[in-house]
Amino acid sequence: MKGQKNNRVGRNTQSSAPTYVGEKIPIDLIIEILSRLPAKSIAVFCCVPKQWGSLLQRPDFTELFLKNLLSLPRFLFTFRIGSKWHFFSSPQLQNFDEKSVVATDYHMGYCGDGYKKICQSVNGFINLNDRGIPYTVPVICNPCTGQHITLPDVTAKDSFLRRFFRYDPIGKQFKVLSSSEEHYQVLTLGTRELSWRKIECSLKHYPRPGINGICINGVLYYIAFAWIERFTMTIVCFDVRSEKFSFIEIEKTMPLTLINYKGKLGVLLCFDYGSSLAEVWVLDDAKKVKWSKHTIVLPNPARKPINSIWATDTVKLFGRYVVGPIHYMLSTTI
Amino acid sequence: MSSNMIMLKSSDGASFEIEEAAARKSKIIANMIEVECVDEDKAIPLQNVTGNILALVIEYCNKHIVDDDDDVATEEASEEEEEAKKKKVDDWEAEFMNSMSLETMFELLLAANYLNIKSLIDLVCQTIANNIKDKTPEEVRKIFSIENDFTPEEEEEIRKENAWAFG
Repeated sequence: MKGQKNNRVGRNTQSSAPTYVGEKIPIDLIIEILSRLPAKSIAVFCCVPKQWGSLLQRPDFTELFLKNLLSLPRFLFTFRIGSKWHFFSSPQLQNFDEKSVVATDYHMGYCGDGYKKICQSVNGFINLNDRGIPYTVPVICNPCTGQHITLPDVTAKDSFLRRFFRYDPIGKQFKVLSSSEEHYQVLTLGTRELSWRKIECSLKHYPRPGINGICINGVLYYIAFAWIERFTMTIVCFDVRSEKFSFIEIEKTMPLTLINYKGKLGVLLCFDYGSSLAEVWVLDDAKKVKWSKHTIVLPNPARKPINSIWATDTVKLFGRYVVGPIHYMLSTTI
Repeated sequence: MSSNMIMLKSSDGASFEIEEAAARKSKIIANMIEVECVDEDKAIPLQNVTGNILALVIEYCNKHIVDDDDDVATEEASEEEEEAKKKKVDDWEAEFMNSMSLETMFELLLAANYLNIKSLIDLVCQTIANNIKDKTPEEVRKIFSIENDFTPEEEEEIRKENAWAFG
């Protein structure tokens, strides 16, 4: 249509071809194009010219790539069959019901040792963890590339040991927090030598077993028990960037779940298992510890746990196997 | 309802009349209108854009002025209406880009870049990305007229490092 020229795309680089438009594309537009490719193509195109190879591995390219991906969010699913974990992803549909069929992509399988019961997702990376069994070590997988690394063992182990895999959006670093009865340690990914560093914590606390914690705006929140005059349930807030702890005491003793309520920390209280109504206490001001109460309707109360509530008042993310939104990471080394 | 019309002139001398609202999709033209350096009787010369490409740009801008006008009114529109509207635009864009040769896409991208039309840059970049995603490095070199500056050993090394992607 509209007077196109001859299609000469397949032409070789010849000195007589200065008019071929492909070579006139400036590098910033090439970056724009490349940042819209799937991760697999990016890895392949690292060896087009050398310039692309170094460009595609720069952190600002990763950032641009992630920004473009966020406009096409995907769900990451995992199924565990026996001791093997299988990772899939699917597009995020706006309106889906029980009859909706969604095409999924299969990414990888990982044979765990059977003790790895907890699966956390951070920006598309997966952390397979345990429920506090000291003799297992966490594994971090990149479902996109099929790669995985095993983290070094922590020195101090006890039955309260819990590890949390999180991302610092400002420092752009992935970190793992290891919390045990006496010792608090942090490991930063991406460094050549992976090793645990000791950090200070003013309050000895015991993370509730079997919980993942939740990370909002660079702060990890998890429920723990601590001795504050008496044995008290507490929300531990861990700033992933500064590696500092703070604590919010909670009076409720009923089962509660931490959720992401439109970008704020929400505490979900289900009074009656099977009821479709739930109460969410939202932390509006973390510094002044100011809460507001909201009532939400759960679409299918039998399905738990709820991890996040996105954008609207309707719960859109539910189901046992939904781990979280996926943002593929490029790094060939994690 | 009538609106201001302005004239654009391509590098090969073709003139196009376009509604001001549509022309404002281009930040460059919008700026020119703001600083009043657009003479009503004279065409704006666009020296880097040929007539056939400018026709495509204008077709795109005409289609998208409606969206921007609607932005104010959409607050009352329901979610379904929003989705239907978005789907309509998506379908139009897919049709618009469909059957366009890669070379035309590159020309359109350069024009969109020159005229600073962000949404058109995004659309063309995404379409080019979809077109080249399954190509081999050799094919991509041809498309962008890039010389291979790797020795076979170096290329093999990269292939090994990223073996997961070449599988």
